[in-house]
Amino acid sequence: MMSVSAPQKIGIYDVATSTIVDAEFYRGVGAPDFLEAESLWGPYRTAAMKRLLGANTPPANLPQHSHWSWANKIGLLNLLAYTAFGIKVAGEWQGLMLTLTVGHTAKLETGRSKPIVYVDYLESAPWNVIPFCVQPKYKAIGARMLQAAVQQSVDEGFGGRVGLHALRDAVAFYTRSGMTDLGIDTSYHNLRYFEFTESSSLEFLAKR
Amino acid sequence: MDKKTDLANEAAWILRVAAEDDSGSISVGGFATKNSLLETHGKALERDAFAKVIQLQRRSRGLSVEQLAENADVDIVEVIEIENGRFDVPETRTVFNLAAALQLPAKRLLQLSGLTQAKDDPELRQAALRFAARSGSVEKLTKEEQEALEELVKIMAEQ
Repeated sequence: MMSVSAPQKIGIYDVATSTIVDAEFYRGVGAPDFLEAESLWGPYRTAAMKRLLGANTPPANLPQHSHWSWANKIGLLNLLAYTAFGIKVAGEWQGLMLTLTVGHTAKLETGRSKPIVYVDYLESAPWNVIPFCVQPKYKAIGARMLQAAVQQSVDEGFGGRVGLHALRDAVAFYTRSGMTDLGIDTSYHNLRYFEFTESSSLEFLAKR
Repeated sequence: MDKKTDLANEAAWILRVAAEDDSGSISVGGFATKNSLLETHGKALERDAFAKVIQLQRRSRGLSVEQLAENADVDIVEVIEIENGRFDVPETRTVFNLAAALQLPAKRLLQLSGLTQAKDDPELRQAALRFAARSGSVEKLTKEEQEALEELVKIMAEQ
């Protein structure tokens, strides 16, 4: 695991006040941080799901989330190839990401077989995601995280190549970000696989 | 670029990103994509019946897997996986589209797929069990399969 470095000060959009507020960006988040996040996110998701089911929400509109084995994931945090990132605002985790720098290669023709940064896990706090929440607290968490993944890929010498398996509800976000949709991957939970090529990732970074 | 310009650019970037952000999900990965509240209710029995009712209803309507995938706007691989029972839990959209394309009641099909729970519905469960036991996987529907299919579809249609 990466050693925990001092958090970097970044800006995040606060929906309630329509202003940019200070946030902390961490590289090298540890197991206690993941557990701390889930201890707040879990009950929030459960309450939201009960509210949605009680309101007779059509099943098609029920949200999905990365329901994963925490015990397994926390073991992974100790492996050198994994890097964990987190964004905190006002003392609460707003988003977490886990990336892997070995074992995955590009599937798109342009970079085929070249190494990529693989995003193994990424999730935003449920109070930032509709329909878990009615009024989201913060915006731009996803863009921040994707930016960090691309930057890591550039730093590693992977040219900005990034791959990930998106959950159904998140397909729109990654499509909008300029990643290429390679379709449903039947070898991985039937999730859609997305990839940033060198050029599309740099285009994404250049947007700033 | 000096620091002041950098900060201004940074602020402009956040505002632009925030304007594009529809607060939709950004979730990636995960070992199971099932809804944690619903997953415990997905029973193997209904799943088996689900796989078979899709396959038999498709065949009884004379559709190929390819045609069904096209009519329902569902990935052909997904249809194949569903018909062979080699899937976790299908997407809700997939089940809705398959129900429409095969003219099956979406609500009951969702129950069979394991996406929603069949609340105290012993009749559907029993019908699903009988159906799963009676249907095979031969090319042409046998008389028995046709009857089994008709019986299940009839019960599914009863609300």
